[in-house]
Amino acid sequence: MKTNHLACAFLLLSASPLAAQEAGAEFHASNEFSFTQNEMSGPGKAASSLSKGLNYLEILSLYGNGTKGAWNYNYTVGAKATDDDRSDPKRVSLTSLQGRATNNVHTVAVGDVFESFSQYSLATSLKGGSYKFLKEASGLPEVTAVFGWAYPRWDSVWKDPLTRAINRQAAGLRVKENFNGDLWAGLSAVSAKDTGRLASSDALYDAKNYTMDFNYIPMPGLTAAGEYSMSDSGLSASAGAAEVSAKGTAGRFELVGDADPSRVSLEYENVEPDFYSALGSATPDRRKAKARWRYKASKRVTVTSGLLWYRNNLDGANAAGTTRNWKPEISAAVKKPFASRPYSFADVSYKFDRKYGAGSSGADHYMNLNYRDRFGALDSDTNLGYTLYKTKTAVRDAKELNFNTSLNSRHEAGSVVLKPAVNLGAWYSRDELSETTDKLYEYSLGLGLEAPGAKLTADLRAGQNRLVKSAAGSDDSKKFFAALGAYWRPKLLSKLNDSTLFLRAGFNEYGFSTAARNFREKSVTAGLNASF
Amino acid sequence: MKKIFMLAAALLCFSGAADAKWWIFGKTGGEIGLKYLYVNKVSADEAGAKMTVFRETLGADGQVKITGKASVGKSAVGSVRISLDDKATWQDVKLSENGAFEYSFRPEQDKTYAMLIEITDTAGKTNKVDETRKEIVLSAENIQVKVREALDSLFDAYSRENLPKFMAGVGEDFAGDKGILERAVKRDFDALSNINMRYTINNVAAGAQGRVFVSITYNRMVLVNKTGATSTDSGFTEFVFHSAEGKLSLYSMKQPLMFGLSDAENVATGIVQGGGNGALALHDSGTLGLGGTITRSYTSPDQQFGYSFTTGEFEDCDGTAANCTGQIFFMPGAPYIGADDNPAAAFIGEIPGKNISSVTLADIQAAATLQQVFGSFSGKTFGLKYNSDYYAIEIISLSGSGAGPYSITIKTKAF
Repeated sequence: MKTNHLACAFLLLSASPLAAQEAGAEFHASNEFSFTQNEMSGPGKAASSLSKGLNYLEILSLYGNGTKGAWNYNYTVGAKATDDDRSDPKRVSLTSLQGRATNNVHTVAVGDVFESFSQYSLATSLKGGSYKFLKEASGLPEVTAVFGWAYPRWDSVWKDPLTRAINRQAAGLRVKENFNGDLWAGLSAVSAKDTGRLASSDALYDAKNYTMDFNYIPMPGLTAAGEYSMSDSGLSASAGAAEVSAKGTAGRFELVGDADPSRVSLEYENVEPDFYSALGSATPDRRKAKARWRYKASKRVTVTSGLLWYRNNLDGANAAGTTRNWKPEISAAVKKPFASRPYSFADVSYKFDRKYGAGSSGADHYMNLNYRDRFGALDSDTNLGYTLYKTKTAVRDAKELNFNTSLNSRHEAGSVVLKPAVNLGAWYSRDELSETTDKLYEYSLGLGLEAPGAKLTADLRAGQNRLVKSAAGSDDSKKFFAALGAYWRPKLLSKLNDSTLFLRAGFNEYGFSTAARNFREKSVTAGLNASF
Repeated sequence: MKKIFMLAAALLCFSGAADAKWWIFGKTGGEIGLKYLYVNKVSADEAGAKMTVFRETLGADGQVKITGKASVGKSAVGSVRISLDDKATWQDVKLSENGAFEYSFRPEQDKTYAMLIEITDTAGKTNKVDETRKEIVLSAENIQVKVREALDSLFDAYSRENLPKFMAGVGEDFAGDKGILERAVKRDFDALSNINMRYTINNVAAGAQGRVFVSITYNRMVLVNKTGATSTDSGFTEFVFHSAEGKLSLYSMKQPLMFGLSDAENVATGIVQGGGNGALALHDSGTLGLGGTITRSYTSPDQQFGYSFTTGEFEDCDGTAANCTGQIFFMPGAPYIGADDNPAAAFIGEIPGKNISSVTLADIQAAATLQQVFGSFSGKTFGLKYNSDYYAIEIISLSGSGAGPYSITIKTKAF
């Protein structure tokens, strides 16, 4: 059995004197190995998302650093192994691989390279290399160059059939100048080119982004930041779609004033429909304005208000029309709302969500009240929410009410600390369009245990929920669940530094009105986590 | 756009010239203090009282770098000193003429550095030193552990439908906008129950500005309150986290989305290359949209029934209805399974050797060429082309005989 080999490898790794190293160098490793046994039964077991049978999961992470002449270096290597297809279709895979070296002027990195240029230009990790020039106090600009591939995982680099992704080759250059400490500005040029279509309908991009960003602190507590980016992108012809080339721009500007008693932020963003950022983060075709103000009215009361507005269809090309959104909100957090109750805390909020245009028109209201307090040995946390969904186009007209309360306590019994807990919840939904009502009730009981002397912590939770539907022909459902998590750091393992034995077990029983859908899940995981 | 930038420039000029901080309502500013302070490029203002740094986010030289600028109003900066041991000892820092300073030190693992900064102007006045106090600690944990902690917290809060706890893990600077995400997650919670999610990490990369890139493999099951159907999906997706206050907070998410399924278009910033075989999405109505694997069961009173991928509903297509309104038609008594070609052009085909988890769009494109597929269809997987839409359906079980009744359980996925 392959798991035996893995277990042996793990034990060898755990026992070896990995900490032995050259003078001045550091080496650290952490390893987690676990077995999971899952069982599903019942006629509806096909709906389960668990994998049946015994599976293992091995996670290894290594880190080291040191000095060689004028150069400092560090490296990180991580790997994962599993035979559970739902955890990962690959049996063994690299989770990180990075090496960096610097002489405090020149820095080179290879492997996982995450040079976050700016939001619109480069905000993702590459598998490749980077070079940075930074000479402090020289007045010279900071220069960063990157080259690599934007793959979501290492297996994709060597074109593993199970995890193969479109080949996105990326290159970028950034020049950043710090003018006087108050102001810095950067210029970035990034290109991404896709090749290796997996399906005939896959879109392949050839995109370039040219971006300027800045950060300016004109006075203490006030920060202005912004970014402007131009994209020039081409989308190759694919099944059913012609070749397209497009140019677009995106800009954002933010002003933040932060000093007691207020924090005020103003944001504006405009991302044209044809703007495309292959390696950054942008929501295309959106003009957004946002204001937010947090005000500490007193030591006890903080009021937060905000307004968010955005729309799409900026070029009018969307035949379906423009959708506009208004989202104002206000909330107040009050410490000690009742002077005689020192642990009381209340938070009340109202949010409004107005969306209209393109055949839609909705106005939703969200109200929420949260109250926390301590009654004797009981800590309570209660939440009451009311939501009104209202549309003029008969999409969703519903009233929803939700209530949750939890009571927690802490008791010391000798060297053991017990933490019992009770949670109760209810959700009620009245759909005005279908004239149906859904109700969900839930409760759970919990017991936490801490035994610091024995270095043991555990948490047991069990409960049930029940969804009752009034619509004819629809299934009611119920779920009973129980979950246990236990973590133990025995003295023997403390010699291997920070090591924990853990056990997690879960049981779920799903029941439906249609008995053919019923199923049960049992899951037990046992493992060892070690780091040194 | 140009007008906006001109307005922004005017605002900046005004704010730079202004003496009063309008946003603190006339309270005095301008005393001796810090104009800004960064610890390893993370703003100390945003970081809270305790800052945890990780080995992977240190520079290649393994040092914590503190950069800041002293502000002394109309006076001049005389000196800046730093203490890393709660005022027990002080060291002068390298100071520029304009008050900017920097200081680097190599931290020891798990040791807490109580940092304070003292600024003195040329008249001998000092700042309120205690207000600059920050605790800095180099975590013994590697960044993967911290990433798992952040993801576990988000997944747990989402599974328990605890909105305040979930939003506590989301950064103020969330790229898709925190306000949009919060409303979308609230709508998710009203639409779904029994959320069961698991993940393993595929890739972690710590980078500049305290950000951490994470790629995961996920699989999940949810129950859709409105229809009572369960749905599963799996795939790869990506997150970026931002390091602040000793923990990682969510900065951006790509599609397939894990959270905020009710407004995926506005919450996600980008799509993972080869990420998912379709992921869950929620309509404005609270029902499940395209993507994801949906498991449904149905008992038909006779041998003619249909299924709509659009609504997720079965229907009894007896002699009174010439055609089902859905896209697929079942005749287990004949037996055959057909594409319902009214009103659209529709084609179906069997995909041998594949199940709903392994079927790809290319499989469906190659297979969906027939009007009907004759023969028993229990246990088989089919691809369907309906206009320009593609669907896969796996017949999990089928029982019944002759003219019926029949009970069927299917898994479907839209592409």
